[in-house]
Amino acid sequence: MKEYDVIVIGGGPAGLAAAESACKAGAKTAVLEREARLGGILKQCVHDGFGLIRFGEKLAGPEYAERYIDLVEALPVDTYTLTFVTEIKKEKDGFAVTCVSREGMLSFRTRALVLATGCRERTAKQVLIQGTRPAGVFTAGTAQNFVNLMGKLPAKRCVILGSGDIGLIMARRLTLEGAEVEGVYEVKPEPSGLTRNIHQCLHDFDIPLHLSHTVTRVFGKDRLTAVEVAEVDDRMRPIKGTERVVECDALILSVGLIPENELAESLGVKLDPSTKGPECDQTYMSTVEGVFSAGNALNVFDLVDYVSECAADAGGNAARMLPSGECVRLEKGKGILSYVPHRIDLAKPSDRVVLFFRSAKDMDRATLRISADGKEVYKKKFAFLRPPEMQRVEIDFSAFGLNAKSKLTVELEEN
Amino acid sequence: MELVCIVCPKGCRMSVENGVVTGNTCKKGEAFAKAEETCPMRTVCSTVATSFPSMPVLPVRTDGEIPKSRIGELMRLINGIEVTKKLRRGDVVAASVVGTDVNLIATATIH
Repeated sequence: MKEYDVIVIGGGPAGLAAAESACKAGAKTAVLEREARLGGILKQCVHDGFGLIRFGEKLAGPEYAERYIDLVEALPVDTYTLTFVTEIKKEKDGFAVTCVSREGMLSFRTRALVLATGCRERTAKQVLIQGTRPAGVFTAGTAQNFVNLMGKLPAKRCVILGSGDIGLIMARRLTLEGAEVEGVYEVKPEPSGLTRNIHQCLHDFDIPLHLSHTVTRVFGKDRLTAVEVAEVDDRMRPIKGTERVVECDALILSVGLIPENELAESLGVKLDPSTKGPECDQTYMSTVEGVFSAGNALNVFDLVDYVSECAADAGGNAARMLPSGECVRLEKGKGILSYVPHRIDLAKPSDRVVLFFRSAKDMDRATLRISADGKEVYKKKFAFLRPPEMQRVEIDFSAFGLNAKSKLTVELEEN
Repeated sequence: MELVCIVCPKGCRMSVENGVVTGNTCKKGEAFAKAEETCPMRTVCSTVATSFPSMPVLPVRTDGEIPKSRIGELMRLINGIEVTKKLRRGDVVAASVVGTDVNLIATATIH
């Protein structure tokens, strides 16, 4: 049985950044990756826009991934690919990790864990579309895998449901490769993806975006032949009489991402219903001592640069394993959709806490306010906030005179 | 003209009138807005075929921006390429594409 100080589960951008900083902090570190190659989902994200913050350059996904792979491979980090974690057990002073691999079963022991398991896409089964079950209905990530890794074009004429970023990116990608994207349909009155992606992926290629519309039915026996779309009312129910049948051979879903936390849950880690990731303190430690969370498993990020930043912090903290003390919960006030971290551990450094948050709705001019025991201790103004665009602020919580009984609230106010 | 900046993830909302840009928060944004009015430029990312079964396509991008109006022409060029050498990330796949001084480069390494 091999022993480590830190085992990182997942070899995507979060896992690589966590492993790099854990190793640099002096920990004997391993990365466990279920796929054949490191890099995670970035391998298939061939579009650019990655790395502006981390590297000061606009890189394509595979370039960003390879830079981190190079950084990790230059360090004494053990990487295990084609290795799938089947069980983690909490033991005294650490964890026993069981995996299956090409060599058979592998057992490890580690003092700390970083769960960097990423997220998975919501599928057709989770959005309730009526009709038959033909081939040709798949997620945007699956379409991306077909086109960008296998070199296969999975559609001639398609409809995209959902305006998440991967859907927008794929609308452009499929158009470039010669497929026709009939339109992007979004059930909500506002797009879910980044504004810049609406601009450069849809407007640039004259792809129509139909807000407050959804797909209500699919047609086809073996292969999809058409979908029915309809306008929805303010409670997202289809409006009778607005139905329209669109002929297409593929329906591509970009309807959200769900952090993958089955391993975290098996360890008794408490999840936040708004982020669907573990609740954590400012060191990214979950509610279970020694279990850290990073990247999209913690919180679905818009930018990989922030994934790397948060994961590097999580990895370094997993290596250091600072003793825990009394915590103050950061309560959700009005105007906030989600945020990390969820609590401030008073025994750990809190002078440079990175707070990631999303607003609950579109806001022109808003103030982020943190109050301790009813007194405002921090505020920052924003020109405009949109729920799809995550914000990052650095806050010195050590200056707020907090104690274990403090009541800490974060809220957003429209001005 | 009203537009959203695509230079960085901030996504500033800007407007351009007679070459005067408002709403930008940096110089790059101003340059982007001006170009949008005259000759919009884009970086293009795609894949090219390879002769290696373990990696049937290689991701590529332009190492600079090309006029938006030339994207179709570039895609026709890209679709005609087959890489037979084990290129590394950053290697030039096609030099000076569609009449510009911009190169098409590999964004991954073929192992």
